[in-house]
Amino acid sequence: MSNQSNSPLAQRRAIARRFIIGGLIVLCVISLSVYARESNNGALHRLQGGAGTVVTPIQDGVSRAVQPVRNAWGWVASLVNARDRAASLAQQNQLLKSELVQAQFNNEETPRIAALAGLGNEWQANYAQVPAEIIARSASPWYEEARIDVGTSNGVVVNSPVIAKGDVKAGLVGVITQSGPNSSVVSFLSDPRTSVGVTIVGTDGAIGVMQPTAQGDFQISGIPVSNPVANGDTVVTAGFSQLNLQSIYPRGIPIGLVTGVGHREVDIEQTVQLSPFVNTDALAYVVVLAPTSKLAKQRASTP
Amino acid sequence: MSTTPPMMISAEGSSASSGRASSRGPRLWAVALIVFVAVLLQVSLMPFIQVANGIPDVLACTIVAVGLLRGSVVGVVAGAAGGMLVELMSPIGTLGVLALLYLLVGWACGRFCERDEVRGVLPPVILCIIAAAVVQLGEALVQLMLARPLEFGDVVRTVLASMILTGLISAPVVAIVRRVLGAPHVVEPFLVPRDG
Repeated sequence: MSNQSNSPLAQRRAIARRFIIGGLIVLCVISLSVYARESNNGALHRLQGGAGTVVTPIQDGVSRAVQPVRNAWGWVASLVNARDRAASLAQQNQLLKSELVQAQFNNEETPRIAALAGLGNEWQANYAQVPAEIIARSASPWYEEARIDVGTSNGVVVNSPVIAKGDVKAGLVGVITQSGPNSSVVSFLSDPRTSVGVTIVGTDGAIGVMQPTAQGDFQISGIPVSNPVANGDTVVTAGFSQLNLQSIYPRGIPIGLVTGVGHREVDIEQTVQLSPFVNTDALAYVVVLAPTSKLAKQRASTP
Repeated sequence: MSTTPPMMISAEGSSASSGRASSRGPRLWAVALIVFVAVLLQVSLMPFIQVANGIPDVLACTIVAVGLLRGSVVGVVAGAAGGMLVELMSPIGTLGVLALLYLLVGWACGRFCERDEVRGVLPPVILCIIAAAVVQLGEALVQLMLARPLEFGDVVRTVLASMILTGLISAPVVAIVRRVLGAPHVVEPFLVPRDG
């Protein structure tokens, strides 16, 4: 045995083995290091985007092939919390009935007031709504991203906002962070890198910044204590960030409802908890707001 | 653990130990095909089977099985290639991290290729669960290095859920890979036959 391990062939084999393993480790370390340092337009990011474009048809096909399995799993998962969901839906139903009356009134009043104030619904007027199917989700639980089947050929660009239909109403779910000819990557609001300039309806236009927390909830910071906020208030995009810089999100996209407000006596700002209108865990379809006007394109090109 | 001499594929294409497995050869094309299918499943189906933020790691099971059946070198190459493919195909904000983690899994499991015990059912399943934990903890570590906020409880929940889900799918995955690749034999450089 010792003769075999000391033979020239065995030595060559050991060297080749170390060369292969060591070379691959070095390659991996270099790629992860370069990728983390470079910008979104860097070579490795472009390589990843290009690979995404190439594999989109395959992913689309596999995604459709495994759709029955995904549906079956969704059905099984829904049985687990069926009773809780039924109770929650009954409560929501009551809430919706009361909101419906208010909404009917608002439907008549809002356009008139908006016209008088020289305002319009920016996100409906300046953006084309491009429906898209989620064909892949991040294969790692540490990333809140998904690939969709529309891209630059559909007018979708990086920084296009993404909305989706929720149980109660439609709302903002994320933003396009990579865009190829026929596919794009959406970063959901729950991704820790995402932050949104928001305002709470009825707070005299106070602007805060919404960010996901480590616990998976959402929190708004920067709303002064002088602007009272109550549970159930609606949170929408502000169109501006806190320093009055232009935001990539147009004004007025609904995000969710306030579920908690708190501050200490010495604080000048309050901390607001938020429950989004759309739960991104079970999303299958989204709508991308592709910029069409000059203002919208300017927003999308905001660094 | 007792050891037995590994069956090695010789330069002439015959095995040091005769038998059904040796007549199959190293079947490296089958390894490539299996890893590619596992990657497709990992990026297309597994993210939708999410429980408590955990995702079953079918690629880890595959790399474990490939390492156990073909040794460290094939395990390392399969792991690095599989991990890199997942990072290229799935919307993940890194490149090279999963490749490195699956590479380590393939290398570590390849070292067990020479052991008798891994021919049973339980050791590969345990290795798959450990592999899933290594991959998830490695990724969590990278998140911390990238200064992304992480809750300890969230990390524990995600890792445990991934381990359990991976454990549930590991036995059939390992059985399928075994069925395709045949009995274990180490494949090393300068030993692979030209038609492998």
